[in-house]
Amino acid sequence: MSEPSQRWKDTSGGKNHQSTSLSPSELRDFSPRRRGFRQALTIINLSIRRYLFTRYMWVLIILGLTPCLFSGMIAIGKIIQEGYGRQPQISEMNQFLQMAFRLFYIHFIIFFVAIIFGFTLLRKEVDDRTLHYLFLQPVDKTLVILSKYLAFVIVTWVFLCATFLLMYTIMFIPYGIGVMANDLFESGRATSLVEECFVMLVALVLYGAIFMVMGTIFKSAWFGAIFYIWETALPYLPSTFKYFTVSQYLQAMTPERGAISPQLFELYGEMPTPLHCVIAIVLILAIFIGLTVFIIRRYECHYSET
Amino acid sequence: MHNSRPVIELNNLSRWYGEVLGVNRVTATIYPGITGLLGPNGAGKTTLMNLICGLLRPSQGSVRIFGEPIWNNPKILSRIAYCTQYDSFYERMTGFEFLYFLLSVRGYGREAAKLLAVQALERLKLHDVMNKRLGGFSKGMRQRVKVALALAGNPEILILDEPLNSLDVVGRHEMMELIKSYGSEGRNVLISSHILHEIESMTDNILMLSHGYLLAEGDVREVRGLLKQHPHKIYIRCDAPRRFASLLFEMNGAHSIQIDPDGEGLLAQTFDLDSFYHRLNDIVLNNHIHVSLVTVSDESIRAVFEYLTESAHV
Repeated sequence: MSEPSQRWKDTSGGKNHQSTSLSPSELRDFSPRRRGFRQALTIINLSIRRYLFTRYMWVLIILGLTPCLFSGMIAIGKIIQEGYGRQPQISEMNQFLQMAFRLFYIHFIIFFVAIIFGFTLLRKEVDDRTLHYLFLQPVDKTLVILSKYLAFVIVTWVFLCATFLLMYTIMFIPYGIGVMANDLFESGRATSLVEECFVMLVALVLYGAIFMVMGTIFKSAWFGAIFYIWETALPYLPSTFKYFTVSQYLQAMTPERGAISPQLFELYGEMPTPLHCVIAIVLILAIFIGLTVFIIRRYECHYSET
Repeated sequence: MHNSRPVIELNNLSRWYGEVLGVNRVTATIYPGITGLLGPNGAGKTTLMNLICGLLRPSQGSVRIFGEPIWNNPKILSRIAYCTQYDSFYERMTGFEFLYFLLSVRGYGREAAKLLAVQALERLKLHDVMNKRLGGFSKGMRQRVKVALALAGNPEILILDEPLNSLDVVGRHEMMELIKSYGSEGRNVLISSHILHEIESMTDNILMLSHGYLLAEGDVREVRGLLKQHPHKIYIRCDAPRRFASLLFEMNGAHSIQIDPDGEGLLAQTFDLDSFYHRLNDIVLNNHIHVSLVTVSDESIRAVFEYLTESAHV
């Protein structure tokens, strides 16, 4: 027996000798629900592994670390100010943190991360000519695309949450561990950080679903850029139109700690109620996931047309 | 007349890519055993195979596998495997990981997927390199990995699109033996090629495709007779083409030989491809000539197709 087989045998704990007497059909788990769950997990695992080595991951790293860089500069500024005898107020940091979340994360980083990953969800498999490996397996195409979508949400959400928490740590650590612990657990910062991470998740899920549909229809991500103009124009839209933007609901869900500029809120206008937000999120998801299922079931694996 | 149940049924099957014709009104029934799909490059073989495996949807007509439609039918996909022509992989994965993951997606449990992956890689003689990244594999090894993946799940129908491409002479022989043995195990194999000799050594049962049309189906020997009038052209790239040519002539192994203008290859013509291959092996083994490439031009089979096409129009 060759060496690699031997190595594999060792890791299986001697189960292979028992399994070799079974035919492949017997080796397969025929409980459809369990099999579907395991197939979905494998596709998620496969997609995450592939994401880690693409250039898109670098874009995610650069975009995610940009606010950390800014917060690092602010922390250095604080140390310099202390040298001149001026103690920066913690409220200033609060304000920066909120602005960074609303403007950097919601309006910019999450949006572009969703464009890049959502558009390439299927397109990268087509460009790499590897889609047939998935479409030739006995798996519903819907399960394939939704597993890949889930993989995108997991990878980007975990990374962006980590950078957001890192940004907070960099900004507040110069005040000392005691001040930071007080801010986290007595001023309710921990709760709002969790809420903000949840808003990021909702943003990735919604924008991801929208761009997943766009990516299956259009080859160019420029259509995503047009959508960005629509979303960015939110403050200047008449009030009825605001309800047709995703960012209106995301801004409404973002926890408010009283530090945000009132002028900015005036631009956003009247915010939807939590009930409106829930209804809108469910509707947007139902529409775009439904569209994805509709498109993917008619999707052919044909590379030469790309 | 076949007593057994059809494996694949193609009924008035057509597929167009906009204005371009892929396959046109193909009606055929494929029965158990090995079936060769023969046709020159661009005949529509890959399109037909993609339709059979459900990667493409027919523009018209239907494909039925074991009596069921294939389009969006995972139940049938669990019974077939398709080795495509696309030389694309998850390049960062090792050969073992590649098979293991895709077998897991196929529905096998962790241990079963490991077992089947290793068995398939061993069967294709890739066990020594199975922990190396696919990105570093040679073309021949990549071709064998694809066949290993197709074989790994032990499918009832194995569909192979030009599986002998990129393989050396020994590799081709081994692959043909493997396919024959798989067929002899009672499995069904549909294999495409533009080289009659390759198909002929594995099966007598063929479908002939040209310009998207099914020209003939049946026994390969009928086609063989037509080929007597058209010599095979074989291009050989080696380090001593002039010596190779003189040895071939000495052994009466070729009808005519031309040395490549770049001096690193030769083009031989023969009516008997079997004897030619035997002599080629003898020359390589006894004279230590290094051969880097042997390709058979599809001109001879193309000539037969032209003959059949003309006959069909008369």
